[in-house]
Amino acid sequence: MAYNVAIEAEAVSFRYPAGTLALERLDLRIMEGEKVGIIGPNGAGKSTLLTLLNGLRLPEGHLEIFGKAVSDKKNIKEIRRLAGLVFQNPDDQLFMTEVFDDVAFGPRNQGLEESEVEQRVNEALQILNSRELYNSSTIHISFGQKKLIAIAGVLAMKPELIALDEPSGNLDAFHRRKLIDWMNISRQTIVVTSHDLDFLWDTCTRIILLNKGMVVADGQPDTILKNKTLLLQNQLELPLRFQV
Amino acid sequence: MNLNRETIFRLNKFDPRAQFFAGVLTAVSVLYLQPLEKADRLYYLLLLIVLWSLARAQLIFIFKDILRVYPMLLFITFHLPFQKLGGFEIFGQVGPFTLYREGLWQFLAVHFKAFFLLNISFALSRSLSYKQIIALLNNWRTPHWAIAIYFYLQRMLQVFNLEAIRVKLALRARNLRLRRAASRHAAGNFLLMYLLRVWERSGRSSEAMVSRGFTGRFPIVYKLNWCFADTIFFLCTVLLTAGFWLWRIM
Ligand SMILES: Nc1ncnc2c1ncn2[C@@H]1O[C@H](COP(=O)(O)OP(=O)(O)OP(=O)(O)O)[C@@H](O)[C@H]1O
Ligand SMILES: [Mg+2]
Repeated sequence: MAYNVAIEAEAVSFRYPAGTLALERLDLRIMEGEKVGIIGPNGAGKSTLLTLLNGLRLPEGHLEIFGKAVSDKKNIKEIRRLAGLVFQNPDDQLFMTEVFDDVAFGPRNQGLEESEVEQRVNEALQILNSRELYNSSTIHISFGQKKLIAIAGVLAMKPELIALDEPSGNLDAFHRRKLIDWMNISRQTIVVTSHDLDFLWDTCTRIILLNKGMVVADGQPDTILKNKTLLLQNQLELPLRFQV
Repeated sequence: MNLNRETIFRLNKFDPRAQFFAGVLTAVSVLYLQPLEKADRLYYLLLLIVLWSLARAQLIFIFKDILRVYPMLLFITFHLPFQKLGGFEIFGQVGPFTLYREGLWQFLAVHFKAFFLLNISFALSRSLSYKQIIALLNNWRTPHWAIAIYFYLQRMLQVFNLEAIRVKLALRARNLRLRRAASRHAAGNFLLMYLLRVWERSGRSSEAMVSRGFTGRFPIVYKLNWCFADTIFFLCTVLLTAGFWLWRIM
């Protein structure tokens, strides 16, 4: 595998207009094909970090996605094609009233033929085993189902980098397993935040621990997810499978 | 004549152009092809505007039954008692009910056609989905920014409705009674939160669109396709409205 850099962050800070400093001088390098889990307590800045990856918010400092600086306006369109973002709250993400239209929104924006769009939608829903939602309304489905549709909407765009914010939350065991299976066979770069550390153990090749907007630890799942004191210090707990 | 949801669902199957022109025809027929006084015409124009906006805003949880005939009847005749006022000596005294009833029958005899067409016009404006409207706008070469603004506004209205349902549930779950002062205070807070949430959520909708590659050009989600049924439907509306018109001349 060619190891190109997917995400390169140097002294990246982000402050919300309301005044909260959500990320503070972050240095990160994530290679292509890596599956990175981001953990940390509530309010650590995980979701904020993901929104930066898609160019949705502009940070201070230097941030490059596949060698393209987000600060350069000319790159934004390309970055949004390369990086897909699944929001933490699917109610924010779904804006079309029908499932098909919502999942098809991204591919249609890419200017694909309608037949190919349909195929993409089918594939994406198939991955998550949610074909039965094909004709549903995005309003009259359950929260977990909305979550699945939100993920499918980004998968259908086939981005090189996928940022998933708390994807396994509210999913039942079956769909959670489907997601794990897909993540394990996918070749894309994936950055995923979660409080479900077992999920990250099953899917990630690297774990980054954030707290108060700073990187506290960065390394193999083996060294971080089994480190009880480190996790406890950061208001986390060992994955269930290691709690004997 | 019960223009309920299924009717609207069926109307929605027709080509948006057919629906749109049928809506315009019925509106024209209400406003111009009726033997109306000037004041009545203004009244009907206002009614049409109110009905259309209600239809577009899809405030169904408030006006669930407005499509049915009887509420509509009340809706367009509520001014009758006040009209009768002129005949009374003491200003502000509303006429007795029998007078209202009499007035109602007279009103219906004269305004039946307008009333019928108003119903149809309302159903037609309700049946056009936002996707069909976007297809129409596209067809008429509306600039892309205007379509984007239209979509954003309709999404905001939708969020208004969705959040209202949520707030209603939250109020009920906390057992708020507007009779109690503390409850009124809490309800006031809820209202403020509600407006803030609508604002936040529609803002995040636009973030979601942008993050999925939206650059101002709304992708085509509905294909216009005029078929034989649409022609028939359109001719029927023409015949109907023209028929009322001929009836008036004769
Ligand atoms: N829209 C906003 N405006 C202002 N401040 C915000 C906003 N969203 C988040 N914050 C603040 O930024 C910090 C980081 O928030 P973020 O949402 O990134 O946390 P998180 O790690 O995703 O938490 P969680 O695990 O609860 O999802 C928090 O202190 C939060 O209060
Ligand atoms: Mg978060």
